[in-house]
Amino acid sequence: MTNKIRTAILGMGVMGKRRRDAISRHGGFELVGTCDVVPGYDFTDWKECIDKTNPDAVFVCTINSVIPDIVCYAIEQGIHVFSEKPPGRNLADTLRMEDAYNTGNSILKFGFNHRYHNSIIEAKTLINSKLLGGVVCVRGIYGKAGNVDFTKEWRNNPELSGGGILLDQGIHMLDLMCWFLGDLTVEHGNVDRLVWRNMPTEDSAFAVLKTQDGKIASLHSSAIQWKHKFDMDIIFTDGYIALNGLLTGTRSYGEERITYYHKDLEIKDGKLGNPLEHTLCFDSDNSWDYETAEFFDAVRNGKPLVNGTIADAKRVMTLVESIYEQSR
Amino acid sequence: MLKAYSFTENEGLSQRLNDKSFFSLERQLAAEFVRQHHISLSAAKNEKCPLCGSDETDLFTAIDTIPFFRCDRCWSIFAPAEQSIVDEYRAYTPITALRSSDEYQEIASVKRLKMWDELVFWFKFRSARYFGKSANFSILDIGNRYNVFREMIKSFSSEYTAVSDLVQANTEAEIVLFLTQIQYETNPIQAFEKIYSLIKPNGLLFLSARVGSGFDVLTLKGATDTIYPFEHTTLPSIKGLQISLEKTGFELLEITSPGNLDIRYVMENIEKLPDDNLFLKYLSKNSDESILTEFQRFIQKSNLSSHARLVARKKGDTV
Repeated sequence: MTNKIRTAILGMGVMGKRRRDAISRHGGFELVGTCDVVPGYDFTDWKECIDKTNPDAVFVCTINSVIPDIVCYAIEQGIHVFSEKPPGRNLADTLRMEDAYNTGNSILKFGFNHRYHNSIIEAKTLINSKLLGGVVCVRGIYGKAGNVDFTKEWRNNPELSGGGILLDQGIHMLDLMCWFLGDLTVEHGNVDRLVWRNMPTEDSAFAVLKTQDGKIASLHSSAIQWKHKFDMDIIFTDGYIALNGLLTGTRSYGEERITYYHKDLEIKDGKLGNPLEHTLCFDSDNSWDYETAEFFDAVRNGKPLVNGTIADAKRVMTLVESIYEQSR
Repeated sequence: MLKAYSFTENEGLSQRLNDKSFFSLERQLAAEFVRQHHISLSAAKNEKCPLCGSDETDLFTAIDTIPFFRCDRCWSIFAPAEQSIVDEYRAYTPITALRSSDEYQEIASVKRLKMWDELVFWFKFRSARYFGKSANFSILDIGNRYNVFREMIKSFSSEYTAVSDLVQANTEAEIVLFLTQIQYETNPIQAFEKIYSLIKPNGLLFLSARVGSGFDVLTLKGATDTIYPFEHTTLPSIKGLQISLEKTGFELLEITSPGNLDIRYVMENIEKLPDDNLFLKYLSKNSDESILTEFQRFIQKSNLSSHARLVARKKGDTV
């Protein structure tokens, strides 16, 4: 008898294929069904796919508007769920999934995948170890290049997506900020269409956030960066970290690196304002595998989920909603 | 393995860490010892690579009449010396007396304090990464001859044991430090097997080494003034380290080459290079400090420096 997790993947776009590859590399999953509205897969109807394959787990890789229905239905059937972000189009969607989760017995994990990138893991290590002191503030920039058909993408159709660049990409940065700093509230938020003026969703989002004990985070999420860009600065009481670039499937966000240095007020490094910097670069992206392994361990071995929990989802969607709210 | 490369942003080329007068004295004493322990080239043919086991090795150079071979497969470099001679060299009284003298220790501390600070940070950072904590380990420190550095390491350990060489090591620990020691091991596989037996399950090995695949070593060959018998008997390559550690049951977690002296070593010995080494001669004559620094950074980043460091884990149950 196989001990593999019988798994169906719902939504076979870029993310569905990426998850399929990751579960295949892991080896602990048995793919029992694939589904997409585009023909060419085992099913075109997600409910039929679930009912007929009766999987132990599903990977939900669909557009945002369908996510809550699938997640809630799967949990009702006692199926474990891995869902891509965002956790629905809005906070109401997330709360609906939270209700289903609370009444069911399934594992529910969301794909806040950036936590598993090597540079992010190293940053979290430095934060937790306090080797550079305590974190004081974080500033993050996450930018997209856009493309000719950008305004026509489903991601910019609010009925399907729920929001624009903030919900699509800025949400990752917000999740990391919460992970690094703790619970945040929005001090100031603004979303706007600075260039794509006829698009129904925002092309730019700005926010200043704060923890209860006074740590600050600032976010700039942009669809008008005109190139792919991921940068995060983390200021500590005794040092600094810069995260630059992110290894992705397209490799378009540049080399993934973490640079750190200690404050050097006594100029031990020889020049004021120019402390010795150390940089680690990574040429492999293990994030999909790490993330898959955590889901597997939670389902099969009963290990508690650390990342991408429903609490993480609720926390970050509360921030997203608050930023949108302040812009209305 | 975590594929990472590490580099530092420097304003200019780093300075040598050795005190000139002490270094030249050490060098003289080593040469004096070598004169008494000649290895004839004819007796050293068909040497197998001590790291990867390949018998495809070529004579690389000779330093103070001692031949050094290079492995064609993994690019490690080694002298075909008996371990007993290397051990005798390490215990050679004129050298040990010099190195343990107060003046030597004091000057070494002044020159190396910043580097030791950085190394201690590296131990703590990587321990936090792989253990989830940055202090309170049992540490076995093999071959560390610097008193101040030993005290710095002791300060963040729960249990600290320092031994002069691998032969003396018999205490199990969560972390074993084997810094610039593999150069004294004629049989690195055997050395790694012993270290493996000294590390608790899931414990870590921190190793640093001069590597044979590094820029200054391969460029300068016999013109080097920093490699000499029997201070350096085995100069593993990056690949040789990887092969030998995996062969002995370690999981190699990361390997980087953050050395920052390759270009300085080459530039300081540029006149000794053959006249047809035109690129380096051109570089030396036409490049300012900033270009040379950038070149060194590229070497660091590309794992091409002759100073490497790594973290490996002993597979097994939890500590």
